[in-house]
Amino acid sequence: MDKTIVLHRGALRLKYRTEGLARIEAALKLLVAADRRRGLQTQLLPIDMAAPMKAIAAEPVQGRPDARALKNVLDALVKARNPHYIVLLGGPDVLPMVPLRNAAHGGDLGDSDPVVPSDLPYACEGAYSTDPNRFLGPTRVVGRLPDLPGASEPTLLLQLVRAAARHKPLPREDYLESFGLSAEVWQASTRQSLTNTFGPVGQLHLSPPDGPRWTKAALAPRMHFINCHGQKDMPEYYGQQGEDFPVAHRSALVRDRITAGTVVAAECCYGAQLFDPALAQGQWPMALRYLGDGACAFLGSTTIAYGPSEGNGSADLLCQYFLQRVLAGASTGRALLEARQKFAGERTHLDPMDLKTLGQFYLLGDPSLQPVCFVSHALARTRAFRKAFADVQDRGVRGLRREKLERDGRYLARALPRLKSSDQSPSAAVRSAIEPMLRESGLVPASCSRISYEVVGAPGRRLIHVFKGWNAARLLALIVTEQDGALLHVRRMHAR
Amino acid sequence: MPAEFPPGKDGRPCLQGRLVRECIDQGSKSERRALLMELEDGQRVLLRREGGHPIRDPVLEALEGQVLRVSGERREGYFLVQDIATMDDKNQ
Repeated sequence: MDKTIVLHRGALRLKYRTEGLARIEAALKLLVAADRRRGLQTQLLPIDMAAPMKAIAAEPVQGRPDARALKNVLDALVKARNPHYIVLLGGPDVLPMVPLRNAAHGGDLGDSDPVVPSDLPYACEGAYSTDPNRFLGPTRVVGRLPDLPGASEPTLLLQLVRAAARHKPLPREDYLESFGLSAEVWQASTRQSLTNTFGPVGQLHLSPPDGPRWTKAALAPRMHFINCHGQKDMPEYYGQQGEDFPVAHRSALVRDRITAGTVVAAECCYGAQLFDPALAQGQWPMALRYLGDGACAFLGSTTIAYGPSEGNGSADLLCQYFLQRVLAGASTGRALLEARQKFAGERTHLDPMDLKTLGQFYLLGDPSLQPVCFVSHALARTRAFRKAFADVQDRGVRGLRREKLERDGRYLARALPRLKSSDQSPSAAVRSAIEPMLRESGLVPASCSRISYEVVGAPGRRLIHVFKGWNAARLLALIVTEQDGALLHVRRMHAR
Repeated sequence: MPAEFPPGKDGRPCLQGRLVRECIDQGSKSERRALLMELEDGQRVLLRREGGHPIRDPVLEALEGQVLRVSGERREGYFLVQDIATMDDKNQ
């Protein structure tokens, strides 16, 4: 099976009544037919119906689905059919996300999100849990085709299903221009992300002074990279210069300005949070306005995100890896899987902020859509080659790619050490080495706060100590790695 | 005096406390000096004024340090302020 669209008919009927559900199912038939024409076998999986669930050896999910039940269904689906693409149909009020524990939450060192709503566990083989340490090695291609929270008519969902059916890949050249938007204070980091993704950067829009009334020409490029502030339940992103936080982008002003097939990576806090517009005086979440206006994929965060003001880290990396894979010809779902694996795989261990980053970013849009045409080799363009693979098209090669991604994901899940909160203090040797560094950073060691973690699974006894303190108005953090009582590594982070 | 009042006649929740400014969400992309209401029991609640800027709101900022009674909606992560009344500060 190439692609499975997972839906809960009861939840959709409850939200959109029987007539609405009938319209959604009619639109899905068109998508299945369109997929067939592009060489994809697509199947619907209504998880509240007995017969299709029996076919994957799972119990139907009666009543409103919860995250645990949905996770169990997806695990059974993969075991029975191992689809190359899994589409979750509907927003979190129809098919819920997993409320992962936020390792970066609480205390002087933490942020204010108690949990991280996440689709990451659905992309992983580990059994249901809210512990993010259990989902370090994703193996599956998963995306969510959302609807509008709180809506009583399925207009947006129908629009997105039909747009997915119409989608056609385009030449790479059509995706090389970008709309880059950054808070002024983060421009160095954003420029680096854009250069890493698109090469030498042309115009980067800064807020202030730019935005939020963008012209159609400004928003026309099919790649959007946005590094601004975002706030919970707000339909806007914000720039920053000093203590000024002007509106940089407003969802209502995106309408009728987005080119079909646009791919967005937004690093903003709550950049892809799906909220009921009633919470925002009727204004839609940014991600849904983009998708409703023609974007085919939106990568963003459900919660508060992390990244440095200069250089790249956390959200910067995941977003740029995603766009890089899209440019290389991956489907949007595979682009996210590869981005997640690269992000997790290039680290010895994930600190609390990286753990949160891996879980909080998710894909809105049909994950099987391929924005950029893959340029095949000369033999593949011959009549003999095309005849030989006429029935299966890309299926065999895609299967090989999935085999590798599954292997890589399993390796990460097995090999990456886990972080565990620890009461252990730094060794005397580490303390004596760090205190001068804290003083040289303008901090008073006695007034710094500290939180420590044990890195479970690392060789020997490895501890991470995060020291934080204020130097004038700047918050500084020293992340100290201790190995068997000795100082192994120190890095200094400047918070914004 | 209780820090949190039962809903008023119109059914909206009320809070009372001193408006303080504090750095929140430290180290994240949302790190900022935000306005919170310090309730009598020590709990701190992030305030956002309906229709106001969620990061910098000059109307709330002008009230920093004062004891306020606000009514509105309690939402996940913040309190949406719809009405504000300044109260006598008994500690001054």
